[in-house]
Amino acid sequence: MDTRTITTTLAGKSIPITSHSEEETFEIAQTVADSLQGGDVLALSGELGAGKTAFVKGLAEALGVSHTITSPTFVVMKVYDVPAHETITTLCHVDAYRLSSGNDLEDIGIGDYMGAPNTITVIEWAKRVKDIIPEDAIWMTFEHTEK
Amino acid sequence: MTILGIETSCDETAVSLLRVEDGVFTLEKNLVSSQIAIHAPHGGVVPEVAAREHVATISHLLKEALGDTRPDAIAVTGGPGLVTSLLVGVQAAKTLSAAWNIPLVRVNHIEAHLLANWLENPALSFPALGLVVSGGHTELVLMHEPGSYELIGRTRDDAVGECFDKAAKLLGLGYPGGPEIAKRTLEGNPKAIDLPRPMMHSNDFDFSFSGLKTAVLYLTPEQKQNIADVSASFQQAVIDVLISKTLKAASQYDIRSIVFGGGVMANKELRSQMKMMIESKLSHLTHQFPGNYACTDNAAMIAAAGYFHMQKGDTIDWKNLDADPNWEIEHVTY
Repeated sequence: MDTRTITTTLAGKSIPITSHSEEETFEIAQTVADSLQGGDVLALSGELGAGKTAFVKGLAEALGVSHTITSPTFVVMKVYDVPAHETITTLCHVDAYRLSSGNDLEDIGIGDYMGAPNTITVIEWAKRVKDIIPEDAIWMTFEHTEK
Repeated sequence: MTILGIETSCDETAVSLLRVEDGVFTLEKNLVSSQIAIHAPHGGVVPEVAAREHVATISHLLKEALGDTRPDAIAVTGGPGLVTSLLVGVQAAKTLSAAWNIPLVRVNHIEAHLLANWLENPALSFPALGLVVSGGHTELVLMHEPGSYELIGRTRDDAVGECFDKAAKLLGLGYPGGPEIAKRTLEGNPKAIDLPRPMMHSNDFDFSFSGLKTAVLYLTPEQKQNIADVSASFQQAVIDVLISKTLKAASQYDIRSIVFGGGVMANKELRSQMKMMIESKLSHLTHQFPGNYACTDNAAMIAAAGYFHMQKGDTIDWKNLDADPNWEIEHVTY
């Protein structure tokens, strides 16, 4: 069985959530999306295949992004319109898999999006660029758990 | 007419010089400086390193390609790609266009991968179906004519080449993953392990490869021990999906040829099985694979695409040229 644990750190407390399928990961992403506000930064970490991109797909669907979320590994950053949300207009999806520091992300123009009032920024492999992740970012750790 | 081609969308710095006379293409220069060795320790292209290497390399390549020749036009990749890499080629092209006062053409990288096939066979007819498979792309394109494209299918998650890279990483193999896995398939049995063929029978032309990567992750340690069998089974799963979708699209649309592009098309097994299936099931269609040099990123394809743009008068003032990292082929019109 394909079981994953997503641990969220909020106000210094770790909150583990377990998902047994991609569908459940989607549901968790929907719940998270409901509580997001423009300017929020989600910092995701976890190994290959742990469900990070699946989570972002669920998040985008919940926010009402119509474009298909595809892996940003190749171009590092993809930006999507959020057409019908009250306060959020933009979703910025970053993959820091091949980056070694926040400088790399700044070169690509992350400054235009991260923390911007109407933008949600989601960064996969965030530990690699933790030097530029804001202090109030929501950290989420993905693990696959053998059953 | 002589066209200077410039390509810097990812990790290859490439410059070409293409002469076109009476519809006959003569590739006079085709220089590629690859950064694969530089990025291999990182398991993929590092954007900042790539940009620095492009800057260090491009002037030398331009000097070597041009000699005393002054081209009649410049074609440069405007996207999609890594923005920091794209900008190096775009700046070089703008500078030369302004200095020499010659026309500039902005070429889409995906379009160029497909139009590169016309360098091999200028008699290929439109409409054509194009499959681009690389580290960043998995796209099925209906090409009505040069400058009129319809994206009919694409990956919903990872690109094929990316899936090879990630599977290789999970198996402890090197980068880039495609050649590393292909090398190990030779001794392997493609039927040894039953891996998923995601979306193979879906009612559209989209692809999904993320689940195949996850299936490799969840193989038992015993299964993973036999790298040859895993590699062969993995490669066959990818080939089955690509062939199935391409043939389905080719039968559904009214086309005259099928063309291919992108680094994954260098995979010999994929080529030979694709060729066999097209010849047995769709023998009325012409098909064309790019030359081996033209699978991976190169500037010959940029110059060739530039020629088609020039034919329709599609040039751009250097002041208006910019890089667009997410430029989709559907938005190319001329």
